[in-house]
Amino acid sequence: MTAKFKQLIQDSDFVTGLVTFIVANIAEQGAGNDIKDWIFPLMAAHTLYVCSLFFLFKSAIKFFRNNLVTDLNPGELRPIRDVTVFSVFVFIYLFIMYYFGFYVASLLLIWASVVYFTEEVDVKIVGKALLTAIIACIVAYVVFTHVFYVPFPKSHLL
Amino acid sequence: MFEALLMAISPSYIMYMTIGIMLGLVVGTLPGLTATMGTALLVPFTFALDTGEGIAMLGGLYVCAMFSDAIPACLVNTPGTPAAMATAFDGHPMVKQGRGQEAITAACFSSALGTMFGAACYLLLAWPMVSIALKFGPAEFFWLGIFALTIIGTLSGDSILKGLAGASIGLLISCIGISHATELNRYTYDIPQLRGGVSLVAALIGVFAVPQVLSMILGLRKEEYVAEYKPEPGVILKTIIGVLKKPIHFLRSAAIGSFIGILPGAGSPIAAIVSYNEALRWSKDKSQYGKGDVRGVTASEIANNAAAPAAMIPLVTLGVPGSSPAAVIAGALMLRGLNPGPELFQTDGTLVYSFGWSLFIAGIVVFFVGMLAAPLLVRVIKIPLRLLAPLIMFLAIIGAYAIRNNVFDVYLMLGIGIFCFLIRRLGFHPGPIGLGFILGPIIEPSLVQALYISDAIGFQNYFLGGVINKVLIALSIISVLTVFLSRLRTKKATV
Repeated sequence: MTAKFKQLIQDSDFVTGLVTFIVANIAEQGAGNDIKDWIFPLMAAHTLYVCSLFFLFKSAIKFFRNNLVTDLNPGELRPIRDVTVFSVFVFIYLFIMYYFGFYVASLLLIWASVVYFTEEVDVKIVGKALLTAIIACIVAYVVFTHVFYVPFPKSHLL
Repeated sequence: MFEALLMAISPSYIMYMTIGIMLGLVVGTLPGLTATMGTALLVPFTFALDTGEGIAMLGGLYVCAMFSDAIPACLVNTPGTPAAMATAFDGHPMVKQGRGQEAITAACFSSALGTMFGAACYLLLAWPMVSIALKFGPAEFFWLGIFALTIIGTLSGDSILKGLAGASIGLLISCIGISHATELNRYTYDIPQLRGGVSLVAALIGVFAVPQVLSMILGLRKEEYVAEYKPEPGVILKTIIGVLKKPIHFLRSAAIGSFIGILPGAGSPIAAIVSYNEALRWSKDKSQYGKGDVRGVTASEIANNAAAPAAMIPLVTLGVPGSSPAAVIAGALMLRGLNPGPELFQTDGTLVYSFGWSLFIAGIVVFFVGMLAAPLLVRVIKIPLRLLAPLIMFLAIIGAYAIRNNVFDVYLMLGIGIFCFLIRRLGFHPGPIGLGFILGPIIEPSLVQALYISDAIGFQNYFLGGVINKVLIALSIISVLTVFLSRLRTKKATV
């Protein structure tokens, strides 16, 4: 039974049904009474319900017929680790941006990501990554701050 | 009109228009900078110029941004502005197949032709076109939105239901914020920043750019570049001849773009989507659409560029701007004491026509500037993925922030992006989600207004009556049936 359940949560139809059901439910729960305010989101939510029921029904049939497709198996670990590490970099970036400002955070994000994604790191690579990050930030600074007057977030510490 | 042409081809007009075009190239290429923002920033610089030169410069920026937004759409699957979303559907697969130069050339040449067609409509057909546009009320806009929504059948990949679910998610995201009926807060969960709604640009960057960056990262240990760079000799000429050999395709896309451009509030994104849908419906071989068919790129680019000059038609005939950049140009005229509208034709007819000619010439200049810049821009795909992925994320963050100078938009963009990346693994295509998000703000207000009106004159009379409504409903039904029949045929052929 556990093996079958494991198969079920790796079946894309089941997960699609579940995700669309959750989104539709959130949308419906948040709805109020005035029909003209809510008719449109409710129409979208009910369309999502129909889709989710179809996918859940399809996966239930596969479940009982023992032909679930485990097309969501995680695959290789390295790419997943890369995506996770990059996502962590981006979230750290948001914190650094708050404390040290936009340009320091951006410089660190680009530099750290390039160094992390390079297979064989040496001093030359680290230097090149830093140079790329500095050039990207200078170009962004000139284009966005001086040509298009975009006031980027400033540091809350410095 | 001849005097206006002489004005438009004077060296000073062409010089200022070219400066506007160069700026438009930057504005369109960078996600987060829109044509509206670019024209608004340029207005103060035009005060030192003659009125005609000033609006020629603003017009040049606007039409070039409508071309250059196709460059990031094709190269990295991130539309520079919402108008290039449909361009990405085929433009990026073309780049992945090593046909980057062909994709950019097709986008550039189509944009130039589209701009010239739109400008010709402005010069010759302004009054008859605007009289049809005036017949569009909320019910007609609602059906136009529904008709544009039928494209999800094409964009859904293997499962239409996943496309439908994706579009519903996009429509739901577009509902966040203050409602159109009674100004009620919807899905804001007491977060003040959500009251203004989700920024369209930030959401589109989230839907397209973030999943693209994360997908690049998934594959960067195996592939070093986005795609191979294979510049073929003679590809530019071949692509141009290819576009010219399809006059009906061109006329259909340009006519759709010009007409939708006139409708205030509809604009270039809808024009591109409807044109893409129609190109697909009228095509004999539909199998390559969404997989790298050059007709997908040209249909979208011709229409979104034709819509730009056409958006000026209601401005000069009625005083109602057809798009946001047209509204900025209206503001620039008013600051000089000129009132856009029918009076302007009588008091300053030469200025009105010289602007039309400037837009026409801008089409030609955009082609040359685009072709000069294209070989350099295509080389973006030669940047290794380990460098390109963080740089795109950096641009995505700037783009999401710059549109409203709000860090919260960056959080939203990242949240939407990660959600879209995860559901991409389930077989969801980003197209329908983006489509739902673009069409939501057009369909919903029209629906609400139409419901209020139908309270007085009857639902059936208002929603289903009138020639335009009937035509749009029929087109929507035909569009849905075409998709189902072609899928059925494909299924039968594979069995």
